[in-house]
Amino acid sequence: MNFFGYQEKARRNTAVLVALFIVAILLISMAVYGAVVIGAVVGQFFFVDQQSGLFGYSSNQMWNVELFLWVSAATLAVILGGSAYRIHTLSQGGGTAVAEMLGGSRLPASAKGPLDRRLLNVVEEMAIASGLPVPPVFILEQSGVNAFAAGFTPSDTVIGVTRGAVELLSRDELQGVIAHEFSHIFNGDSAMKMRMMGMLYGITLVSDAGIGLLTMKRTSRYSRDRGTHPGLVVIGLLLFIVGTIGVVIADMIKRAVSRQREYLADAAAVQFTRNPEGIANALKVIGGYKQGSKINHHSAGQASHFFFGNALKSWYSSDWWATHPPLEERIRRIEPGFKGRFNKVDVKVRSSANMAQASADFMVSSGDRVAHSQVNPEAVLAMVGNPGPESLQEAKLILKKMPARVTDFAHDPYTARAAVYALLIDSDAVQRKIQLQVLEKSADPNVFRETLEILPDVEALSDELRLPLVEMVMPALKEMSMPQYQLFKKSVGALIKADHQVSLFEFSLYRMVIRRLNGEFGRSGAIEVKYHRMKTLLPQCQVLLTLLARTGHGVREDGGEKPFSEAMAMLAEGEHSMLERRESRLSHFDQALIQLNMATPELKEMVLKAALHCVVCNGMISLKEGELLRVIADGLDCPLPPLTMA
Amino acid sequence: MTALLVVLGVLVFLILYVIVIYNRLVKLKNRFKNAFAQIDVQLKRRYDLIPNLVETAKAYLKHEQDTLTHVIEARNQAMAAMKRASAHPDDAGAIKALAGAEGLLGGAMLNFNALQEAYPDLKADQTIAQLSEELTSTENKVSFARQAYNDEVMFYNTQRETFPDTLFTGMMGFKEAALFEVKNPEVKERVEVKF
Repeated sequence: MNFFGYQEKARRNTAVLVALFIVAILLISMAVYGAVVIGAVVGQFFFVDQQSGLFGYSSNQMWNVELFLWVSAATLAVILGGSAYRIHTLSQGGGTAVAEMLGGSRLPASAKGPLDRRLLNVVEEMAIASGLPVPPVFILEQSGVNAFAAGFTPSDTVIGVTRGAVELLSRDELQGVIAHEFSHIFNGDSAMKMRMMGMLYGITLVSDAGIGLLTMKRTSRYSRDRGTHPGLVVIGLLLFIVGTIGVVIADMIKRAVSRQREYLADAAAVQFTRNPEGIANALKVIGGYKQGSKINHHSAGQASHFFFGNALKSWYSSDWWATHPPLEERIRRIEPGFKGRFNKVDVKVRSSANMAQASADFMVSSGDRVAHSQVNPEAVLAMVGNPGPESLQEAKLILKKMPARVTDFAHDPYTARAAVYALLIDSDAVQRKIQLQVLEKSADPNVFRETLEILPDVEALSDELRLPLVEMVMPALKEMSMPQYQLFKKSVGALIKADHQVSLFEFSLYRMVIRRLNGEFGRSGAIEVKYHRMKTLLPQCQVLLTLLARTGHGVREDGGEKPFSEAMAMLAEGEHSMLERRESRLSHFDQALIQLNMATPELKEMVLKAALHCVVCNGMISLKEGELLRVIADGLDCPLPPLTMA
Repeated sequence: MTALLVVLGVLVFLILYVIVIYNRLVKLKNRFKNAFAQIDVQLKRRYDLIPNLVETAKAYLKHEQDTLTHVIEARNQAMAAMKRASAHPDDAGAIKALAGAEGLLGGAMLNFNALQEAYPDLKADQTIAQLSEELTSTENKVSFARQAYNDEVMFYNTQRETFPDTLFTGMMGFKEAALFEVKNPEVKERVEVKF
């Protein structure tokens, strides 16, 4: 199965999730009803003198339809209300909301500590290798060894790592863990887990309500308010128990949906890094470490399914029940000879060794470029969301080739803006003059100076480094505040429009940057799947392919008619001709991409395949074609590893 | 029975509403605390650069030991203030103390820079020029990060004072956060720095 297959499966899992959720609501309604009945009976027992029982209900009738409906309605309201609220906050905050909820603090992209730097480098390498925007990293101040990835789309995804993992894992082990998390992003697990967290919140809320009732009783006793019905206390207690049942059911759902995905992510991590030892040793560290992968945080329960290892240890977290498969089994699937013995982890020895290593190996030499043969559309398609060690090597090479000064600029929110401006400035003298004038007016004068400063370095970048630079600036730009972001967005817009025409590169850059930042500053949230049939999307595909064909073959006489019709034939029967220029402007392209992103993964696969076919028709990918292809893959949220361009 | 149900319903609603308020404030608080991390990185960089600069300048400034000592002392004080502030970015007192210390450091640096005009040799030194340039750029980064932090603090403080949040903020322990505002060191020119 490939990327699209996994995405599709994750989508189906969401349907399973909804079904389980409905069953859970029914079960909980019954349980709450039971709690109310028992509460009423016990209440009557305490207050025999009272005229009527609690709620005017007498214990003679065990089954009261009216009461049941009331109770169900109330439970339903609480659960749905709670879930709706959580889904709302999550879709506003994206992965950042989860990280912050868990007490994570954002690791500045410009952090200088050797261990912090090592972590940021590992994440950056992996992101560039897989064609994802570099995600912001959050640190959880926890001594357990754990990590997570959360977010609906690649642009609002964040990576969280515990302090314990940063200090106790070697670089290879850390890489294995991060690769595991990345594969959750590729497989659509992160998005599904976000939805799951939103839904399940309502279920666990019942236990909160129970706690609320119990504490209310206490305050009223202190105020000597004798009017509190002991029945309420009992109901509170019972609600709490019911709530706990809810929590257990929620965990069952998590287990049903996410447990298998952990094995999958482990396997993908091995494939990605081609280093089974990395992830296996990380798991062994967890096994031999006193703190294991435990997270001590009041919100850890809600988010337990996000983590790399078991975040919770509780009475029912035995192997067959937990959200994660047992460590021994996970290791055995990577290392079949594993005997199940964990060596005790000596915290001092490990952390000082890691610190020394991290300080020493800042410039790890990476081998030579690995030769690819990527001109085959099938091969490229197979790479989507499935980067191999070659891509990782390629990414290391890209990062190594990036001049140190540019890297420094990219990692700081202040200068990262200058790097983006510099990327947009034209090499043509006349254009450049106009653009610089516009920039001087719209941007901060100091940033303008920084832009002039970095401009020669950015211009000297070879073409293969330009788009990776766009990925690299992302975490730093996401550190801006809202007003700073708005100013930045305005300046970028002004810079692009300065010459009254939008070039393909300007368009690509703008689209990618703003889309990515939208995950942080705009509304994130899951992309709704609206289109299930290719037929409804044919006009959009026509726009896409027309532009691609014209970009690659515009100079030639046939104007790309052949690759266009061949690619189009892959999508639908019948004759389709290329669109006129006025029907296929960049604005049309933009709209088409937005709509195509709402297609099912299967349809996206077809579209991407057709696009690839259109591009490699003549056996090579030109720079412009490569850029356009990247924008398309990006617009469809399909992480495409760096391609070698001719 | 209906009355009880209504009371119960209102109660549940209230509890939920308070949870919403609480979560919203926690989120905003986390935001500005996270924004402080960026200031932290830049200030550290700045505090690392200053001793280098002073060390290099010493050779030229045999007779200006006072100014140099002031710079170093102000830097040490600011660094101590930063350590406290970065441990608790939500402590208004710590932020104000840091802002004060930063103001003093700015004044001391201004006096130091004035010396560059008086000693052309100093100004001509390659290392000094490079370090000064880097320091200026770092200061710009500091002020950018400070702006981001202040934006987030403002969002938090505004939400904190909005009705009905303001009814609960005291009870839940959401204190007002302080803006990180450094007085413009230009005003302090030629003012003797005292400790």
